[in-house]
Amino acid sequence: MTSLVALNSDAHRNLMIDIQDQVDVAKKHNLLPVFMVEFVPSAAQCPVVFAKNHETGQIRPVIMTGFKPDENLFCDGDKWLGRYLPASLRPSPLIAMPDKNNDEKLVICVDEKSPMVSTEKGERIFDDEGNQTEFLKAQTQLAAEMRAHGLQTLELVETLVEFELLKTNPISVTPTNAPPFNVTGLYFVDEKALGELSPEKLAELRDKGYLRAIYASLMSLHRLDDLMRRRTDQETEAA
Amino acid sequence: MNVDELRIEQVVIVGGGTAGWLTACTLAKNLASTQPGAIQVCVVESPDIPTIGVGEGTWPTMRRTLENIGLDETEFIRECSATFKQGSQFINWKQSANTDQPHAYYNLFSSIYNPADFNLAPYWALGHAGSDITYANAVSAQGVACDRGLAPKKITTRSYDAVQSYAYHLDAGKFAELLKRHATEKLGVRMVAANVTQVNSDEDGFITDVDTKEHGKLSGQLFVDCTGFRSLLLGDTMQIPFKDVNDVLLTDTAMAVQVPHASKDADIACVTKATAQEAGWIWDIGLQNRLGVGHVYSSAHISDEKAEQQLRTYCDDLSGELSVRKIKMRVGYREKFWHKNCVAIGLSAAFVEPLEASAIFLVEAAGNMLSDLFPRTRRAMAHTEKKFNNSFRFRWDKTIDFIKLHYYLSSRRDPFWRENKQSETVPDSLLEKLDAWSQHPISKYDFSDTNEPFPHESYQYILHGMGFEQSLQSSAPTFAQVAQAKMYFANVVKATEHICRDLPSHRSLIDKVCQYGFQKI
Repeated sequence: MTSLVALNSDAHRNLMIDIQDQVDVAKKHNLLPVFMVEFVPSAAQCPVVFAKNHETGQIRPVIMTGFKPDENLFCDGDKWLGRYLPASLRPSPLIAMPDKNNDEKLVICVDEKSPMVSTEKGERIFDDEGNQTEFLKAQTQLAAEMRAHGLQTLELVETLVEFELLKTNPISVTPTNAPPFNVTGLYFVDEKALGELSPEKLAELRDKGYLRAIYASLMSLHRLDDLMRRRTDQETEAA
Repeated sequence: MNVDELRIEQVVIVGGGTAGWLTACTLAKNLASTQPGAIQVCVVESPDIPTIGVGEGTWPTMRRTLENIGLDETEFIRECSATFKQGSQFINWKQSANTDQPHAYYNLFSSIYNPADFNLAPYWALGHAGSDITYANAVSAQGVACDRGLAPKKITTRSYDAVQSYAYHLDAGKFAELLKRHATEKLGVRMVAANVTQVNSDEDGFITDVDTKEHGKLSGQLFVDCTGFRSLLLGDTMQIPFKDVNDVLLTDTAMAVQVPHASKDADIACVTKATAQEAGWIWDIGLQNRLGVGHVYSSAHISDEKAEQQLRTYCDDLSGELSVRKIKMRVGYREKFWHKNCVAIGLSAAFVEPLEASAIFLVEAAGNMLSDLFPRTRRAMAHTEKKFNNSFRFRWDKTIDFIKLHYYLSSRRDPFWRENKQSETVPDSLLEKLDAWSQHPISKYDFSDTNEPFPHESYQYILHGMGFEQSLQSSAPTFAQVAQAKMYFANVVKATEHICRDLPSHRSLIDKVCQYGFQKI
């Protein structure tokens, strides 16, 4: 559980943050959430599809790193084997949240329970006088960007659902030395529905900057073969 | 112009409430009222007459109905304090409360196998499912799921889709408000807030318009009477007599209370609980924020004071804090539901005790049939009238038989219960069926009519839940697919484990729906 507290130059004067990649938390997961801005760099290495969060039922874009729920073919211990590491595996303990009294204003909060937060290791966020450090300024900027990316991704999904551009169908997987199985619960851009979209709606997708992401997701489906090959290669190595 | 060729262009629904607004939504949606030139629907709702608003349980048909009129399931659940209902649980109906072990059984909405394809009931009756398994648990996973307080679906399940079939419990007052908003904002229904002072007819006895105190005359070619027990159009104006069925169904009074949950995270039962009492029974429906509880009883067999006391005892309300609302029920139906250009839907048409949630369910059915067969001219109306009347007479007779069945199979000894078994109170149609079923399992041939309100499986849940004596021994060789039946029973046990492992608790799903909502895909 996270415990978010608004940053305060008195209470957090001596706080230090040591940002670390968190690849090891992903090694038992085959679907990792990504932002819309990550579709293009992700699509070069693995399928970018959509799936429901089991806890909330909300649809979000994910990269597919394995075929079974606990299979991640891009992790070797805490080492990431891909070219692009998704932002969800580089989480910052500093998070931008809307102000309780004013939705327009963002407040920077810190997750005090995060192992990256201490008073011993990493970068200071305030100096002895209580002024923000350059590190904090950069992190604040980044946190605001992350929030914007998150909202943009939510809007993308809402639009795709509203325009009926997502479909679900099982993918059948045929491993070389094991019985075939189906992967279910994934949602894909419906290419046919996209082709039949009205000019007005298509223009809306273009104006909102969604077309690039949509095509990246469509093209990334060719990476399913790469993913299968990665699986076979790792099995061969292990054997 | 020949009046027979008079085109139906304006429908006037008199009365709001669940019946009025649900009918308005169904008609306006199916007749595409927002399109130019389409038939228009108008609802006259009195700002002064309160709605009865007790019907709080539905059948699974409500999912199709709501999806059809374009309401979002998440919005519906949030706005109406709605919860999921997977069936009914009947407590102490077979015999009076025994302190150690109350008798209880379920009537559930889904069985693993459809009895029309393979009826497991005779194989269960012959003992092939094992000797100590109830009928419900032998054929369905839902009873075990309900015992454990589980929901019928997950937060990842699409809107209106189910893992196990379900209906809803809802706050009827809030439901009517939501339907009103949806009808007027999305479906092109016009609302007139006014009190009807007079109903006017032409020389042929067709209603031409209604006078209102606030907005003058409202005319139309078809009138729907949703005025509740008053039955202002069909009863008062058209003089269609009411047929009492209090010689069959003996209850005539209800007392309702609202009981807040003990805490915000209290468990919510996923079934309607119906607990038998000395002279009636108590319903218990869990909504998001409260329970709706009520005592339905026969005033000839128990005093109001005693009935109220039993209700308060059930609610653990010994200090008498809860405010009780008493409702006199007139049980029966109009001799016709449709007369000339007037159709009665809801309490204006008929009422029986809410034991099997027939009220809202038959409102849906009436709205669907009305829009499916919608007459376009006055001439076409006579034919629709006949079909509609035959259909609803059939549905109400079946509903009355089905409710009576619950009482008839009881071995309770109180005078009310004994009277319920006396042959002069039991319809011949029911006795005939029971006689046949005592030696032959219920079959799909008993349910060949498309208007049949309650499904085959519901009868089996009631019959076998109540321990109906069926002697199939002489015909046992007919049931020769024993190996297959045993395999199916084993599959039900496996499916039950699997389904129960997978489903969240009812409360946690409701909380998640309120927080995140279901997806449409």
